[in-house]
Amino acid sequence: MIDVGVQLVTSNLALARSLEATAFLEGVLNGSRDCIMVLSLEGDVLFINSGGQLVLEVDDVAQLHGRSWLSLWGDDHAEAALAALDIARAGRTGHFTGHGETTKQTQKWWDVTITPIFGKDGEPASLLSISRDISAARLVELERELLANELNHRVKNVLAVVQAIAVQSFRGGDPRQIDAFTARLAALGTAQDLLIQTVWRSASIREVVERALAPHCQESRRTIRGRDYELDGKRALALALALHELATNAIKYGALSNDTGRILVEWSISETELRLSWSESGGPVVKEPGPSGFGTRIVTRNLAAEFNGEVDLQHKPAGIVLTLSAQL
Amino acid sequence: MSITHAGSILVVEDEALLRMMAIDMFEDAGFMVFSAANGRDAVRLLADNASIKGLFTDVEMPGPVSGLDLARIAHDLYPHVAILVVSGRAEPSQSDLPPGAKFVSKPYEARGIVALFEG
Repeated sequence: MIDVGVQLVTSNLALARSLEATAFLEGVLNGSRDCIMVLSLEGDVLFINSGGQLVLEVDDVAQLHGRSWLSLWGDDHAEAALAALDIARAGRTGHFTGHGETTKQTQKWWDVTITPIFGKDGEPASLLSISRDISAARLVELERELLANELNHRVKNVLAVVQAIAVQSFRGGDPRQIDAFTARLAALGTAQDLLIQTVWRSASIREVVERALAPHCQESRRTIRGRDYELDGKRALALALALHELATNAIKYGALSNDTGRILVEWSISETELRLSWSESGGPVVKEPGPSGFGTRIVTRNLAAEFNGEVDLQHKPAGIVLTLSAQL
Repeated sequence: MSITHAGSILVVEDEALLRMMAIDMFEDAGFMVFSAANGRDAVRLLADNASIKGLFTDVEMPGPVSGLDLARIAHDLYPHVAILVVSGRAEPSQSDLPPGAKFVSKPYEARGIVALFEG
């Protein structure tokens, strides 16, 4: 009898604790403003918390039960949603950002994480999807992108007007100098286009190199090698201008002045250092240069100053070699 | 695209200074040049001058005919006209440009622009 009484008390306590835990979990789930769903492994909605019903504007939760979670995402993000679902099914954490409609056709942006809920056998038994409504932040980001694009457009128009004024002002002068000036402005404009993508914060070193060389050098005559890395805005501009000068010099006197010369731009990046080199080969024999002009100063002094590093420019008979070493 | 210097080029640009620079650029290269400050005038010039073999147009211009509209009109009505669109804005998508048209970002390099028309 006593044993039975103890067992009853114990199981009542366990029940009370279980009910308490359930109430606690319900409180946590319903207190969240995120949309929390439990999905079957097939991706059907089994559960949605009350906060989720609110942000998804669901009047009748029966509308969602059993519905495919994938159907909540627009065509633009169907692939990313399916990939995240597959990752979670495989026992890992899937993540994506995308937009989808609420049940009342309101467009919202979501930051979505989907994770497996493991069963007793250690295998995924169901899936947990947590979607955070990031529409407000996304709107701010879009407005910032719009403003940055508009500013970029205006900056480039001003550069074009400066170009026109210079061309008209120096008309009748040495056309080579006017050409050099307008080409520098064009190189500056190309670099601006790259920087606008990150609102002037950074630009991919590979893209800077590729875009700087593209107007001057056919793909078959250039080799670009190195792990990609994000350069800050000032360094990206300095590198773009320096490469422009090197390329125009190569067209006039170096590897690009004949039909067979080649350009190699390569770099290596460690945790602390960037080493980048420009090497020409196959061009005519290089002669010692005269007094350094503005182009040389852009290549040496400006590049060294913006990278806070050292630039070594050598006019080797086989071709110009430039090496930049900079601390990161 | 390739235009012999016997053909004319139509420069369409609403900014007077930029228009002047573009006209000089093509004239210095030996082309005969027509010019307009908006898309509507450009459409008329295209209709009235069969010698125009190249169109060099900005995108954003006052009036109902934008540079992209003009490029499409030129492509549809005068398929022999080589088209180059320039803008300080990002490159338009391929679907916004008529087939065969090229895009160059402002500010541009005069030598490269002329070379594009000379083929």
